[in-house]
Amino acid sequence: MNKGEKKIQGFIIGLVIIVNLILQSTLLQYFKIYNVLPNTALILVISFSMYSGKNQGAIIGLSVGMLQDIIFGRIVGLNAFVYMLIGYFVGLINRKVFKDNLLIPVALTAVGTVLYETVNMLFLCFLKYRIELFNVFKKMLVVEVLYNSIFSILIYIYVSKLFQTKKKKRH
Amino acid sequence: MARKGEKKDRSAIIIAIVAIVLIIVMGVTAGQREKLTVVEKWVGNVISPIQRGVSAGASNISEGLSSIFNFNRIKKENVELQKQVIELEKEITTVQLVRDELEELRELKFALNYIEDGVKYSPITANVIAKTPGNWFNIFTINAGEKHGITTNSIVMAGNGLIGRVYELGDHWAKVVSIIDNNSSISFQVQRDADTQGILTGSITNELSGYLFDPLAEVVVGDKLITSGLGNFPKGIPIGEVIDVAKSSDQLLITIKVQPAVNFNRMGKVIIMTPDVTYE
Repeated sequence: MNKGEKKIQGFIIGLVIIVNLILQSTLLQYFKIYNVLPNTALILVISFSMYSGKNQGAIIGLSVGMLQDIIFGRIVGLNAFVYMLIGYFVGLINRKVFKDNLLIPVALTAVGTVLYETVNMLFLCFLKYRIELFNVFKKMLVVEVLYNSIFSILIYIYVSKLFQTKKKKRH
Repeated sequence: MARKGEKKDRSAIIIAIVAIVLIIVMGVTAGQREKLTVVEKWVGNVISPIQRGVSAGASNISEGLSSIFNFNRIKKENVELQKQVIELEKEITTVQLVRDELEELRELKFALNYIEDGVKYSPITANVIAKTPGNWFNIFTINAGEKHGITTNSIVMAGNGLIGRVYELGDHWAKVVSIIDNNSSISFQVQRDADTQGILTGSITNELSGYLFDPLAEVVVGDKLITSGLGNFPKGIPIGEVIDVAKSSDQLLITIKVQPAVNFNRMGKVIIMTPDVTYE
């Protein structure tokens, strides 16, 4: 029973990932603020790995990033790398935090966004892409952090419901 | 106890190995590739039709909503457009006179055995199906690919101006890098004066800015810019309008800001110009 449930859960997670990629690239484009798109993929990776641990977190992050890289990326592997590490580290601390507190996903998303953009910037810098530090700071580190944090509450509530109904059934 | 530690180490080691592999993949795929791998093409082939459906629905809804809310604006626009039509009709008559002269000159060119510099382009129309979910680049996908005969570095434009170039392509889809992308640069010339040339680059804030080669050249706000024919893009495609001219403090460069002719937030249909290989 446990195995079957896990399979269903994995299937749902996969579906959510693909639906998110499609929505993020089509519908969410209409919700840009100051030309900044909310990074729902990052929030999903953080929320999922909060509930499912480091190994699954890393796998989820890797697949989310890889999909995004293949369809839109200029460099394959960049997003996969960052999302995998974020999934792994969030999974590492998942037993040490209270999951009911809504401040946790907000704080984690803010930190995660900063980490994501910093690693991105470092790699792009090494790959000789042009970096404008001031614009990066303004766009990514101020607007995107705020936007992502607000979005994270909605997504986190949805993900926590997804996992909690599963737990209740087990009893 | 020891066993537990071992287990913990193992997953960390796997993560580290995968991370290193990903860095290597990054290094390999960093430049523009001629051909995508089978896996990438396949993933794109599966996902792009769904994206096409969703984005068509979304754009229909948003257009419907905006036309309801912007009824007044559309009315004003209509009046302006009618004025513009009258002006354009006047222009057509003058252009026709010029065209006759041009044809005469072309005949002369043939007689003088002039080397033809233009490559012929075959146009294909496609829809924008999705835009990049990240904030670093300005890439979008279109629903035309290798099977439709387009190639990498084909030119993508809208009816009124330049959009970008095809970066990588699958069977029925292609990635397009727009000219306002952080890392793209184009050479331009001022429309009224072909000798005033320079380079424009995009940025992550989606602004076009650039500088002129000649520090003494004269550029004013409102000047129309077109591609100069150096580099990837053929000559004469409209880029946009100068909205700001600034002399940098050392007085050696004139920097300009440009408003692109195309609205990159509302792109529906695009034209892809593929260089005609058979012509060579």
